[in-house]
Parts: sequence; C-alpha cells; structure tokens
Amino acid sequence: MTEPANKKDGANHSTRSPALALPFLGNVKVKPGVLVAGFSVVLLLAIPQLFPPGIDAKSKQNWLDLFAKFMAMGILALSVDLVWGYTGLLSLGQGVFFGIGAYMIAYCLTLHKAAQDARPKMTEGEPTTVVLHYQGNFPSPKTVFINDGKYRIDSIQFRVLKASTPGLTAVLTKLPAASLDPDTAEQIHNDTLDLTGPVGKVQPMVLKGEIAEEKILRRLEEEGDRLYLEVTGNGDRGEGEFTVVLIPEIEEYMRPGEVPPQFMQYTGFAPNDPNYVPPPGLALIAPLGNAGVAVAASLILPALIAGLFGGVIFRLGVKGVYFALVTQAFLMVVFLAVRNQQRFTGGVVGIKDMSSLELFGQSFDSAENVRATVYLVAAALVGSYFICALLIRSKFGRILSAIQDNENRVLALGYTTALYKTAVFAFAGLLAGLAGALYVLANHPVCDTVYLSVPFSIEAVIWVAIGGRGNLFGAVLGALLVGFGQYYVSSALPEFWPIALGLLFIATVLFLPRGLTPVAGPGALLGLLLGVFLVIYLEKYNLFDAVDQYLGVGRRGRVFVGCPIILLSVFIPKGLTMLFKALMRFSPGRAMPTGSVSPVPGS
Amino acid sequence: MSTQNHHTPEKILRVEDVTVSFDGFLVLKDLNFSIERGELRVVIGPNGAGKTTLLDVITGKVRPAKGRALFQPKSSSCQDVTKLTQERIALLGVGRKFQTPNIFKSQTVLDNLHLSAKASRRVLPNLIRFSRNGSSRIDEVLETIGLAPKASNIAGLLAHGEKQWLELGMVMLQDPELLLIDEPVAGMTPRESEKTGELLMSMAKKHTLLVIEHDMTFVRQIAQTVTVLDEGQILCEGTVDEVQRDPKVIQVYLGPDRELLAT
Repeated sequence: MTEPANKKDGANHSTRSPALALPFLGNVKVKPGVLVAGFSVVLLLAIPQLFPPGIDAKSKQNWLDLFAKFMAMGILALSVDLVWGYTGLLSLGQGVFFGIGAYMIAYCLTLHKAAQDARPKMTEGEPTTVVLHYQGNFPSPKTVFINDGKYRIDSIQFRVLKASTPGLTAVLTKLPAASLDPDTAEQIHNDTLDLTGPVGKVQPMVLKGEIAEEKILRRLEEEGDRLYLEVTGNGDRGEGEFTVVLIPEIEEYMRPGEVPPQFMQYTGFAPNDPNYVPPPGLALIAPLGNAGVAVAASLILPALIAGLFGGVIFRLGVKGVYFALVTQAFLMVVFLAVRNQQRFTGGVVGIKDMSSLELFGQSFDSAENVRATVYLVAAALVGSYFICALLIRSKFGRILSAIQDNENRVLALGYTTALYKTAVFAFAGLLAGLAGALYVLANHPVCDTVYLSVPFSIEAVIWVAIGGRGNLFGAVLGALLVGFGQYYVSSALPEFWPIALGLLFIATVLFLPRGLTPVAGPGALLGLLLGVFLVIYLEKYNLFDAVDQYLGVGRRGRVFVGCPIILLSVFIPKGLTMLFKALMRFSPGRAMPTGSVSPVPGS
Repeated sequence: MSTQNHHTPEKILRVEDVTVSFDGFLVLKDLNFSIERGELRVVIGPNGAGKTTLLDVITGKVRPAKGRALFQPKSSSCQDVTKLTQERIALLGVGRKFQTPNIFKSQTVLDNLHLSAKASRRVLPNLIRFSRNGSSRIDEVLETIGLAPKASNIAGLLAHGEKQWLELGMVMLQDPELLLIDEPVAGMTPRESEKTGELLMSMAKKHTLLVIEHDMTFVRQIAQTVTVLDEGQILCEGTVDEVQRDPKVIQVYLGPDRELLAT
C-alpha cells in the first residue's frame, strides 16, 4: 500500500503519518484507518444482536446461517490473499485444503450421527438370584420385586416349604411399569402351581418365552417393571418360594467411530453378530469420532499436505502461471480421488447425515445452535485476521512481499525463498482447512461438487480480486460481498449469477485494479454490514413484497432493490466522510475567519 | 577440499574450464579466470560475450556444463560454487548487483535496506521480528548512497539512478567478500555515473569487486585491471591503456580495419 512520503522525516525513519502505538507490538504503529477496520471486524462478533425485534425465527436462522457461511469464506479469502496477494503465488487449488478441513469435520459429525442412531449394544452381566417368598395369609396380591435396570429372566424354580390348603394356585407375572394395573399383568411361566406339595421338592418351571419365543415376556426392560406374585383361592397359603435367576442386560451405547456412517452404505450393522466385519474405511476415520482430534486434523492435515506440496513444488522452482496450473491440477486430482473412492468419501453424494459439533460443552450447527456457530466463526475470522496481520507486519511478511517484487534479489540476499514460500503456503493451507471446517457447520452436506470443484477455488480468487489483492481487509470484504450478492441474485435469478459475478470481476479488473478497498476505504466492511442489515429490515417490514407487487415481476423485484443496496453499501462510510469534508469546506464559519481556504476551488 | 592446497590463498575466485551451453550454443568456452582478494576488476566485452553469464555461474543461477568456480571465503574452506544453491553462495559472501535495478519496489527504501542487512535468514526468527528501525550501519549506508532524505519513500518511485544506488546499498549491507556488479552506470547521467564510480572506489577498499561495464569513460575512472571477454573466452587482460591498444580488442569491438576505440 502506497503511503505518502513523510517530508520532515529525518533520522528516525520508522515514524509514519498519524499513528497510535500498541504496547504489545513494540514500535509497530497503527493508523486510524486500521482502527476503523478493526472496529468493523469486531462488529462481526455482534451480528446475532442486530436483528430487528420480532423477526421470525426461521428467517433469522437463515440469515445467521448465511453470515456463518460467508465469514468462513472470509477465512478462505484470507488464505488466498496471503499466498496470492502478498507472496504473488496464484493458487487455484486452495479448495483442496478447504475441502480436507471440511471432510475431517464432516467425518466427525457423521460418525456421531451414526452412533446416535445405532441401537445400543447389549452385554450380559453376572446372574443374580431373587427369592420371592410367600408365607401365611399375607395380603394378596403382593408386589415382590421392582427392577432397577434391564434384566432377562433366565429361569424360575418353585419350592413348597409348607403345604397349603388344596385348591390354591400361585402365578408369577410381570407387571410393566407403564401400567401397574394387575389385570394387565402377564404370566411369565406356563403352569399354574398347586401349592400342596410335595414339600421341599424343587420344581423347575417352563418359561413362556421358551416355547413361544416371545422373549419380550422374559424381559424386565423399563425401570419400574415388577415381578408380581399372586396366590389365588381361599385357605391356608402355607409357605413357599420362587427362586428367580435374573441376568442383567447392560446396554452399551455405541461410541462415535464404532458404527459405520451412513455414507458407507453399510446396512445391517449388528455389533453382536460374530460375523460382523466393519467396512474398510471405518478404521481409517474412526479416530475422528473425537471432536478434538477432528478439529486438530482439519487444521494440521491441510497444513501438512500444503507444506509437502509446496516443499516439492517450490524446490523444483515452479513459478508464476505454472504454479497456478499445478495447483489447479492438484485440485482436480484430489477431486477425482474423492469422487472415485466412494466407500471412503461418499463420492458425488457426499456426506449428508450429520449431528452437531460438540466442542467445549457447546453444540454448533446450522439449526438451533446457529447462533453459537456464528459466534464461533466470527471469533475464528477475527482471530485469523489478526494473526495474518501480525504475520505480514513481521519481517517474514516483508520477505514474502519482497519475493513477490523480486525473487532473484531475495535469493541473492541469501534467503532460501523456497522455504519462505513453503511456510506461507502451509499456513495458508491451515487457514483454508479452518475455513472448510467452519463452513461445514453452516452448510451440510459435504460433497466434492461444492468443496473441491474448480469453480469454487477460482471464485475464492475472485473474492480477493474484488475486495483488494494484497489487503487482508479487502479479502474479507470481497468474500462477504460476493457471498451476499450471490445469495441475493441466485435466490431469484439463479441462472444470472455466474454472469453477474463475471461482470463484477471484469469491472473490478478494469476500473479498480487494486480492488474495492482502496476506493471504499477501511469503512467498507462496516458499510456492507449496514447494507445487509438494511436489507434484513426491509424484508422484515415487507418492503420487498411491495416492490415485487409494484413491478409485477414476482420475486425478482427484490434483486433489483437488494443487490444495489448491498453493492453500494460498501461506499457508504467513504461517501459520508467525503460529504462531511465537503460540508466543512463550504461552511462559512470555517472558511471566513482564516481566509486561507478558497470556498470555490480553482476559481 | 583438496583444491585448497594447490591454489594461492590470495585468489578469492578461480573459474576453471567453465563451459556453459544454452541449447547447444556455447556461451562460455573453457573459460579460465581468477581474481585476487582486494582487487577491483572490470570485465568488458561486446554484447553476447558471456559477461552476465559469467556472473550467473558464480552466483549459482546457471549451472555450467563443465568446469568449476572456486570461491575462497576468508574464514572457511574453499568451495566450488557451481555445486551450491544461489542463497548458499550469497551467505558464503558473494553479493551481486543485477544489470537492471533489482529492488523491492513496493517497499520503502529503509525496508529494502533492512531486509538486506546482516541478520538471520531463517524462517522462524523472522516470524517474530517486528522491528523496522534502522541500525547505525543502515544509516551509514543511507548516507553513502545519498538516499538518507528518501529513506521512507517507496523504492519503486525512485529515479533510475537512485534505484541503482539503492541496490548497491543493499549489496553493501550484505557485507560480501566478493561483489559482482553488472553495468552499474547503464542509463545514468555523466554526473550520476561519476558519483557511482566514487562509490565503487570507496567500496573497493573493503571488498573485492568484479564490475561489468560498457562505458569506457567509467571504466577508465575506476579500473585497475581490465579483462576483455569475447565469445565466451578471455581475449586479453591488462590495464585500460594496454587493452585499448590491443588490436584483437579493436577488432572485436569495431570490426577489422577500424580506428582505435574512443579516446
């Protein structure tokens, strides 16, 4: 960025135009424009608070989801800008790293979903014995055992200890917790017992389920199910006991990573089946069932792959347009690999079935927890922005810019430029991975046609070109602007969007070679947010419907109103500043006393 | 290295039997050439003689098809630079000023010098270095190249001569033992050219200089020994006067049966 020369600058060369010193940056100075930019970036964090009161939940959720998506795109734009804008390496394959980050999180979420949906695995505990004893004239009927977990009744033995009056019978029934009415009780053994004897003899009993295989009868499933002993008839009941052997059934919920996810199309998952063989991809992605591991993988794996790729490519001295082609080819290789390995990646269908991401005890998704997702993405965007800002202000950053200016000179000064390029490419890979991971939270499902497509990676370059290449702020601005523009145009005229984007790109290259930011100033992002919320308020108060009706063009009317608002809003702060300055200039109170300012320029 | 033994230690650079071929066209043919430590050597020769290619070989930009170039740094053993990478050669102590000004045009003059000054070239230390202040050495160089008042100007907006001086300043800050300078006064006014000559003479006190130049007035101003290169081979070597009188030199510069070089 061109700065005006400081005329009075003498011995102390580091002083620059009006600036504030930040204590933790040593002698790095922050210009007021940077503060405005910082303020609008911080404003991103306040997005969920800014909606009109009474906006319906569905519509708010939709808007929040868009914010989360476009801010994630902003992080991808930062990644492209570091590589292309600052180092001069046009990467048409940032989608690779974006995609890897996205797939890592998608695997995690689909493993969670599969585990949630799977039936729990049963294991049997040590048998326990319950003795149900009756004696004399106890008040009958009597509940004798209330279960505290899940049990299977293994066997029942009956023994008469003292003979009763003839004609009395005993029945052991199950009374489900759901209905404690004794009339609904089900007898769980097949015979009605005569209690007269023989005394002391153990009588094994045939369980109903053993014949009918109605195993349900032999289970105490719900907490509060009762075993219910009833002795019917009049007379002396004598004394006797039922010895019931219960086998506890321990339910084990499936953990993420144990159940094959839906995209592996593995029907008939039965962990108790001794013949069960897990699908080959499961062991590979199982560790990602842990959310922490998945998040780490979504950052480290892209960085690692970018580092390896860059290490080889830069050492080979691939530069300029060849680098762009190689990155594009790399993207296509990854795309084809993902498409063809359906068992591992879901192929063209992708990964659809996903739960929310559980992290730090908070759920993140695009539905009921979208608010949390917006906060998370905004925090990540602001964090990435400041890390990038530090990076480019460091000596490392100036060496990157020097490489873009004149790599031969950097080499001749003794810097191993390949290492610098590899380092920045790896870091950009990490950022792209982060962007992809966050994008998944707001945009299910994950499939190759979105994340790994060639047009998507090229679009990321266009965001940066429109916002302002070599300008972190511009990258974020471009991503958000194109994102909202796309949403607005393609909601009504989807077929027109590629043309609109193309026109915008051509116009930018022709008229604003350094992008919008140098023209719109640091307030541009602030303006864009204003514009988007203006549109949200207009929608809330049904203005667009009125326009649609007035023009009689269906939902297209909103495109003609919404798009210009969003596009032009980036110029609002700059426009207001210029207007304010102009007013100050023509104000007689200011011009008259000094007499030095001519009210009419060039007169 | 065994080479250390049979070369006299005062030779800082010894180019031996170097042949460079571009698609079969021999740019340098079995070239043998050496410079002593502390010398200011000027290499002249017609277009296409292989002057710049010679510098490319020494700085590792071009790998010769055969031969070697031995560089003897003060404090370490003799190295064959044709086997080393460009950045390794630079760190050994070979600085180069390119023919057209090679500077970082989007950065300030001060930042340009800052990046050139002696400091760690590794990635990690530079990630956490934020200071942009000059050092006393940078201030000194700024004074020497006369750009002190323009220290915070964007380098790309400097005048051509100033850019050349800035690049000389950058190379000086590297503090190399051997300085290769390719046409330092191309496109300069006579005044600027004279100032550049003075600059080079002052640099020659501390460094060994190898200068490529066309401008004979300038050569006369600075040269001690002149080497004439033609079609990839050494034509002759000597003082400016000796070289200018040499009929072979006259022939390659002006063609057969022509008058002497310019006065």
